[in-house]
Amino acid sequence: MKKDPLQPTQSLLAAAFLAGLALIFFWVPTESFQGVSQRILYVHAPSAWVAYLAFGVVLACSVAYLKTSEARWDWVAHASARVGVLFTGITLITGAMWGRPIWGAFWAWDPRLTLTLVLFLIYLGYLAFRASASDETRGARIAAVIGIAGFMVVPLVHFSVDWWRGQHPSRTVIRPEDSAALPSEMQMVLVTMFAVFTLLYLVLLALGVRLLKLENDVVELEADFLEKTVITPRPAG
Amino acid sequence: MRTVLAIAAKDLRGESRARQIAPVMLVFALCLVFLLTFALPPGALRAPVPVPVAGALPARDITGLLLWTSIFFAAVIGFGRSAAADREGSAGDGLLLAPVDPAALYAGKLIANSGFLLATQLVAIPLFMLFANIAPGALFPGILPVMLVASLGMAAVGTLFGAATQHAEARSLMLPLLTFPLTLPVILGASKLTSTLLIENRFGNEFRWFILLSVFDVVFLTLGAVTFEFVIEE
Amino acid sequence: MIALDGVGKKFGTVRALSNITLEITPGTTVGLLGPNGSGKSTLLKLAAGLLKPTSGTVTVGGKAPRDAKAQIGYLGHEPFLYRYLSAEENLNFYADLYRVDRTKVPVLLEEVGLQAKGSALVRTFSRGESQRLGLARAMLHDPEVLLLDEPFSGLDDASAGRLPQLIARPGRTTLLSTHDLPRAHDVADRLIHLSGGQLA
Repeated sequence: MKKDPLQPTQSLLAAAFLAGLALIFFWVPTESFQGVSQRILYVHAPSAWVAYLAFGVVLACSVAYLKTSEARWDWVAHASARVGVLFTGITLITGAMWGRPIWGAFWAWDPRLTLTLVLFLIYLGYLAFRASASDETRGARIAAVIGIAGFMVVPLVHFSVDWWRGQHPSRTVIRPEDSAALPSEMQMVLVTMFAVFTLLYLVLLALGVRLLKLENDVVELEADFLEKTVITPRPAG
Repeated sequence: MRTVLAIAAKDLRGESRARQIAPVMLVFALCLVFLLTFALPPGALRAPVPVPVAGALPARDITGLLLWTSIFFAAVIGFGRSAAADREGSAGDGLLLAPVDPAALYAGKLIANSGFLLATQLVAIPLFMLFANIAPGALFPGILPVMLVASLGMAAVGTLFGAATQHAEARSLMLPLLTFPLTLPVILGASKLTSTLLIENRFGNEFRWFILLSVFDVVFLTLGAVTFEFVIEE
Repeated sequence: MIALDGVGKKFGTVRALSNITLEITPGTTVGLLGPNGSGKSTLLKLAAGLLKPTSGTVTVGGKAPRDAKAQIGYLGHEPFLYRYLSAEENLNFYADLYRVDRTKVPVLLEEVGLQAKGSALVRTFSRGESQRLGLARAMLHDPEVLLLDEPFSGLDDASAGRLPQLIARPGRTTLLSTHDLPRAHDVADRLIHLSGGQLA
């Protein structure tokens, strides 16, 4: 059995993640305004970063796939979209968990939240389409078009959800993202978690690509097997 | 250009006989408009209601959203039908065989789809105003440019993904699923412009939405023209 | 004129064609024979550029089929016509796409014996009439290469008998599939047998 080249990276990731959690729970001081619930920021903000990074990778690989028709670009795009949807979901859930004690509601139509939700819908659509496409290569090509369209609409959705409510004073809530105002320990933990989550993304992406490649290999092996087991060609008639 | 016009004329002429797109869109839009306006208290869309809660919108402010949500869903049905016409008898394969630029095919179908959508709106919007007790002068003619940029944006997305979803297994489900989040800026923009026109009789500060919608149109028309070949080829 | 080099085509896990190498001499008419599911239609669609090969290359006149669209005429199982347009409108539409003069349309309608039905909607057409109009569509731009998938199907004896002279043009390369051996002998200079996705 060949040694898995991803193994050391995965061990490193596990150690870094545990260390990060220890920093969040035992080391970093509690924020005075929001109390303990502010600590979720250290998961929330890096998740959002990974989500955007993942969708950016979907865009880049989709363009590459349409240009080259090489299946590996499609695998990376597909795997990245899966990870992106997962982390968009985590962003939304952690945001809601933070929002309940701070805003008094799980959900607020804050522009950033709305944008994240729209992204979630777009890439859920991307994954749903991939599942329902009846032809493999055509499905991959169309998915690539969705991947490109999905990212191009981001700035437009951003402006439209921002403008929709006009400038209401209720919008000036305390933003968890205003990290510039954070004390240095908090900044340090935040930076650490960004690095840990980026590594997590890369590992999940690599595993996802490997899975898609294996699925593809299985299909090809099956086809080869079926071909070789056909002993006599059907008679002409 | 000849190709673009030939495609658009083919779609419009086929529809003038089959009448499967625009009338269906219209009836669907009217059903939605009826239901949504019926749900509101009488006169709610007309009277300048004071803002009851800080941050909440006056009822008149949602007029646009009611109208454009209805139009969006009607549009999705129309785009699906329009794309299906090319699938029946595999006629779309005939287009693939012909030595034409896929961008021209896209443009032709886009013109036809925008036409169906505009025609639907020209009937649906006055009827909506009738239901909602809105005076004709309150929206016309100011809403015409809104209709134009919004229709073009919706058709730009709908034509591309209408063709793209034809070979998916749950195509009638996939089309709204994909187009709704992508078209959100158009729905919001057209709604805000319509409501503002109704309340203030001018676009004022909200004129910026025209810029956003125009940018949207340009972005998606370009994307559609460039990527149409990838969605129609085998 | 039509060359396939090691062509294979898979649909998912199903292999429709494997390792086909074939060269069709310019100006000849070749009949493609084989039972249902032997890959005839797939081969014709590959030559027309409607499908892309999974492996190997297909060329028409030395070019990829998609770069030779103007030289290729193709008639498949479906006529590729719009049901809500008349026969004449359908051909006019394709004439515009192929940049052919519309004056050719009435001539072609007469050749396929549909001059009386020019303004009838295609949805009212019988199977045989659709097939003949589909043939007119495929030949509208006077293609150098004609690909016909089961052209005799749905045609009555008289129309089927007229087909060979209808499609014949000096210098035209024709590849047609059929399972009608006598008719294939009639029209073709050479016969190719396909079986289980392979040349037999």
